[in-house]
Amino acid sequence: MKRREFITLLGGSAAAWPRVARAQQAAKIARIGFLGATSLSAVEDRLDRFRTGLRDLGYIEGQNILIDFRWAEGRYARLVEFAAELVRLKVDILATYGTPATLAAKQATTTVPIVMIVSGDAVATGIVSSLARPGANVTGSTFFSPELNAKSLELLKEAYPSASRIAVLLTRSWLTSCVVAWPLSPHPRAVTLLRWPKLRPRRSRLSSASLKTQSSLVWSPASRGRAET
Amino acid sequence: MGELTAKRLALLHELVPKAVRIAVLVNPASIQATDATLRDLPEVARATGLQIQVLKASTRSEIEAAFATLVRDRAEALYVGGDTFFQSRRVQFVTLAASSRIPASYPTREAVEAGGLMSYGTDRVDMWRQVAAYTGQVLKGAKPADLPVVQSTKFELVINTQTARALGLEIPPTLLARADEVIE
Repeated sequence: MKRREFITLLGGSAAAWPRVARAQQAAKIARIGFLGATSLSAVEDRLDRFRTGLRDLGYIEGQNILIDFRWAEGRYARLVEFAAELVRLKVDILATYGTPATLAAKQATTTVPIVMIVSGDAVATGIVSSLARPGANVTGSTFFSPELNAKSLELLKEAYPSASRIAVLLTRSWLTSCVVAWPLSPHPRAVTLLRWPKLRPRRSRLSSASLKTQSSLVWSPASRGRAET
Repeated sequence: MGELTAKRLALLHELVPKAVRIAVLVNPASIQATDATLRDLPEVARATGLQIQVLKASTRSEIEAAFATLVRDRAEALYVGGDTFFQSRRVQFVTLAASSRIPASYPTREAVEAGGLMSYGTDRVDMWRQVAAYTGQVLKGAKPADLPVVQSTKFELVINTQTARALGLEIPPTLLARADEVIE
């Protein structure tokens, strides 16, 4: 009798658990820490797109997500402190706007996920090791990155039509960029690419001088291509 | 070679062929971008025959001071370097460029939409929504390490003809034809 009561009780409570768990899940509010290199007014309209994208996945600000904004107003040095503060607040994820913001977030945590909204060449700046497999706690979007080297090579040809031999400086971390750039190049025959595979970044200045004697242009894809923020 | 720097300068030169003295404004606080631009400039200047004057600014008052300098030194065109802070100050840039009567090239289209003369760069607006989708996926349990970094790959040339008119510039038809967007 007692045993049956116990079973009933257990059954009853077990049946009730999923409901409780669901209710707890629904009540859980995710916290996004938003680290902006500039000011709210500068990106307000684009921030609406961010909110729309979240809504598409069922996340509505004020209902099941909270966004803690920190704006550095262009004073990038403050980003480090803001990033540390957001990590202390135990946000579930950090969203970053601007390369300096992403670098500060990466410095603040190796565990909290980071999504970068607009960051410059994420491979050249060392934010991720590869675009296809970011590897650590950072993903998001970038521009002027390795796969764009095919495009930048095209721009190079446009800007310097007389260039016929282009030296490509490679280090291990830039290898992917060139492998991608070669087959995509719009001028595969017009441009002779010279590989310089054993170059180390530290020695690049010296080596690029010696390379120039062999070629009309020196192109080091990732390091030189990240000309924008 | 700084192919993007070179390309942007070439486009600016095409739009304002008479301009030889070009002021280049960079933000030293944006170390990566500024290093790249400054490293590329001497070579670009040599190749194009343009005289480059480098100006630096990290605050709104320094932007103001930079414009005073370029007016004093009679720069004929302005190249605005890539920087998030500069982007946020686009209205200030556009206002100062108009009052200084200087043709300016910007890295992103937002400045041209605000009244800037021209821009050449990648379109980044869509990235906001895409990254929001990633944010949602990570909140639902996806690992950042497994989500490939997405890229904006589309370069666009945007020209504001109204601003060109105000500056008394005639846009070469060949350049206008290549523009991805013309703001009237």
